[in-house]
Amino acid sequence: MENPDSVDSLIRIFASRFRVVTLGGVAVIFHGLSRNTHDADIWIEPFESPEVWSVRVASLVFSHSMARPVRIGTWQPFTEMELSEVIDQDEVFRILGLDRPLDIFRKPNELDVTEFESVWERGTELEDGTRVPDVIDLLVTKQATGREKDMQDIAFLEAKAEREYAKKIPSASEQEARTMLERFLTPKVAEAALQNSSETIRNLGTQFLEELAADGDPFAADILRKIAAS
Amino acid sequence: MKQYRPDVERQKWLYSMMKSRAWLRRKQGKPEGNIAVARGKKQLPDNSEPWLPGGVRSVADALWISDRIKEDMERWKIPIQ
Repeated sequence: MENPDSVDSLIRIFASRFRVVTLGGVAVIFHGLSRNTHDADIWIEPFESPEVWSVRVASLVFSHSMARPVRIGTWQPFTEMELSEVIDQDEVFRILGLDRPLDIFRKPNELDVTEFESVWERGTELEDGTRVPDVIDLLVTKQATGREKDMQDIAFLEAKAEREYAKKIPSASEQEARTMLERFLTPKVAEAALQNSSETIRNLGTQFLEELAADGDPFAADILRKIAAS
Repeated sequence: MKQYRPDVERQKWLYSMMKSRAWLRRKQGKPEGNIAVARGKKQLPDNSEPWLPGGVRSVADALWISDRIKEDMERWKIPIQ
């Protein structure tokens, strides 16, 4: 039987009312990495302003008998009236009191509120009504956090995205390949672009390899040396 | 559109690790790739079983996997981050 005080039950309730994107460890596990997660993270659609967002979200959070909302970092409890100010300043708050902590974002790390629509569109829908970001959007949220766990996630997600892109890009249409290269670039992906039938994409692949090498990427420099020698 | 690129410092570190591994294998007289594969044997396939048949279909599924891993880590006294 479903536990009404579990995080996933509350997330289901949110997902029945709002568009909810799952982030963090839950999303990483969905993408295939077997790891544990201490908490759950969700991104609730940002609405027009922190004020509107707070009114809508507060009605569900503060009516829950077990949920105890606290500020991130200071772990200070706050009232329903203060949610708007908290979310405006911190962009996220935590709910304690359930079977594990739940972090609720209005603006996640490295993503802007204006990007919600595109992240939602590219995401995969789960049975509970939430969506999981695609591998590249998830990678973006993991950037620049400096946490050891995120480094492991980045290594896994980069390898997954690289595998998928390097496989798809040689036979992608010019438009598809261009869009792919505009979203995600590694030396292997740029090298795979050199096999595309479009000369424009092959030139773009070379240009990106040169850019990466100029930026200090040793793998890109190796590929360029190999091409020059052949 | 923002383009995601791997961190250059991490790429340098990975490159350095790759070169170190290759150097060590040369020192040991081993071939560049997997020894068994170099001898013409097939690479062992990934034989891990999925945690859940059909994969992760909900937040609850992902948290269930996380909890089983956490239990195993506690059983094996592996520090949990």
